[in-house]
Amino acid sequence: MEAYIAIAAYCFVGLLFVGGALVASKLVAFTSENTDVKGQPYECGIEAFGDSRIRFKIGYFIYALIFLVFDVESLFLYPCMRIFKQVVETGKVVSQFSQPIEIAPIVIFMELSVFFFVLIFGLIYAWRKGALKWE
Amino acid sequence: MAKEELAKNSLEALKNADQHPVGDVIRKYFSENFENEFIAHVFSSSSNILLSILVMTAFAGGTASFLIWLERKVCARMQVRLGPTRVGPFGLLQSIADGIKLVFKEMLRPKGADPFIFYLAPFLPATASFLVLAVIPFDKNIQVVDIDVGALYVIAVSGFGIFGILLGGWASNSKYSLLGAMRAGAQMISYEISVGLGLLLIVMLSGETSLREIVFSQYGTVNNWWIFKLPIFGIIAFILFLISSTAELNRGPFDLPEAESELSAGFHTEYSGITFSMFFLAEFINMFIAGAIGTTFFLGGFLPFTIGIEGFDNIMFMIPGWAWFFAKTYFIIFLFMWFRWSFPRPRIDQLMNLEWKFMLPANLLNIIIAGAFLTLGWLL
Repeated sequence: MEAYIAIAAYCFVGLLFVGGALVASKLVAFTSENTDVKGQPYECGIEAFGDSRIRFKIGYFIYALIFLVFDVESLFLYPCMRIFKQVVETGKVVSQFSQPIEIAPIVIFMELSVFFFVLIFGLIYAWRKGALKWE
Repeated sequence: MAKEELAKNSLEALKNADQHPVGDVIRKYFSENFENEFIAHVFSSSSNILLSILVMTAFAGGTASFLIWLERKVCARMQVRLGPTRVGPFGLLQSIADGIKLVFKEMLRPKGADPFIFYLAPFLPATASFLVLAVIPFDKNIQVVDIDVGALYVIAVSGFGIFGILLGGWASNSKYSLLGAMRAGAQMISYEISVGLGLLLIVMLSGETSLREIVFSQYGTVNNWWIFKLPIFGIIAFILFLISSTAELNRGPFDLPEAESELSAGFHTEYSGITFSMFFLAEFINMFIAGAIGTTFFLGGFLPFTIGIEGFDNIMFMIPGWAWFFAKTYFIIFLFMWFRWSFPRPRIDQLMNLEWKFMLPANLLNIIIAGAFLTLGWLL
């Protein structure tokens, strides 16, 4: 628990660092006269054309959806992998929350393989459906 | 077993080393030189972590400015130029001068930009990269905190910086910024999977998630570093990690989000002065972090280069751990710089295909085959 309090403190120090830099700069920075052109977003020197919150390519969104699947799956794998070596070496899982559970190494490997092949199958499915095609 | 009985360089001796000497050194200095009750209270042993946090934040700023100088120097040498030479010896103070200049520059905000999100965005990447530094073991006893889910923490927190880039690009109300942010988002989240799976292999092989324990799992000769561990899974994972972390850092050759010939400056087109420099700071701290994570997971962290011959090993152990750590980290950082100035930039579809159609399947197969080897006990 102490470690996480330290991390919260670190987060606070980090925010303070950035905030302090921003405030300090606001106090000392040079400020020029406010004109119409000053607030224009950069667009190669011409006057800004239309709004910038436009519709954009759906491809980015699809990648984000596939990412969600794979990232969550890879996070699920971390606890599995944490005990994998322990199971291979001792044949059981020792945890502070329950009795030691005996598992044969080959069983846990088969379970992991099934999980992985479901993942790879998902990738192949997305690939075949054209989700990974950039047009 | 008593501590004296342990050999000086054995695994147990290294593991039992006292934590937080950074805080201790400062505390000792202050309590010896200022005899004041308030100061003694502030620098009591409970403030060790706070002191190491402050030192680490200062270190992060220093590292970033050093890396900016190094980048310019390496780039210049690769293009047969000299790079910065005027400010300070070898131009070392150049980035500090640039920093001072940036503080005095005006913070511009385009019309139509969302003020809250526009100023919130620079906070996120910088804070996220400070936070990752908290768990990195610089030496056997230099680490702010050692949390037992270190590997997960690194992935979770380093992913947080993407929010800043996406929000900043969207809030700027500029088309270049929006396009750059969308590219950055798609690229960084895609390659984050590869980084995660590369580290997952090491978590599987070592059976540890705390970064300090992962370093200790590589104790022994150089063959025990996960990169050199036979058979070749470690080096495959290292190469995939290197490529994907280059892409996650938005560095060349994968610098599509800020491709200057297409998008002027990508997501930070509209940022100026100190807000821009916060993005820049985060980028360079992230480069250091990528090097440090690569070192910790694959190159044996702070452990010295030992080959199993006692005399040689003892000489190697005389070099302090942090020196080994920084040497290995800067080696990886040099590789990143070398990539940047050697390879041409790919198109966005080529970049996405590289991740989803090559690196992701390669990573998955690498892990499952390594799992089979581990189950059968074939791992040397």
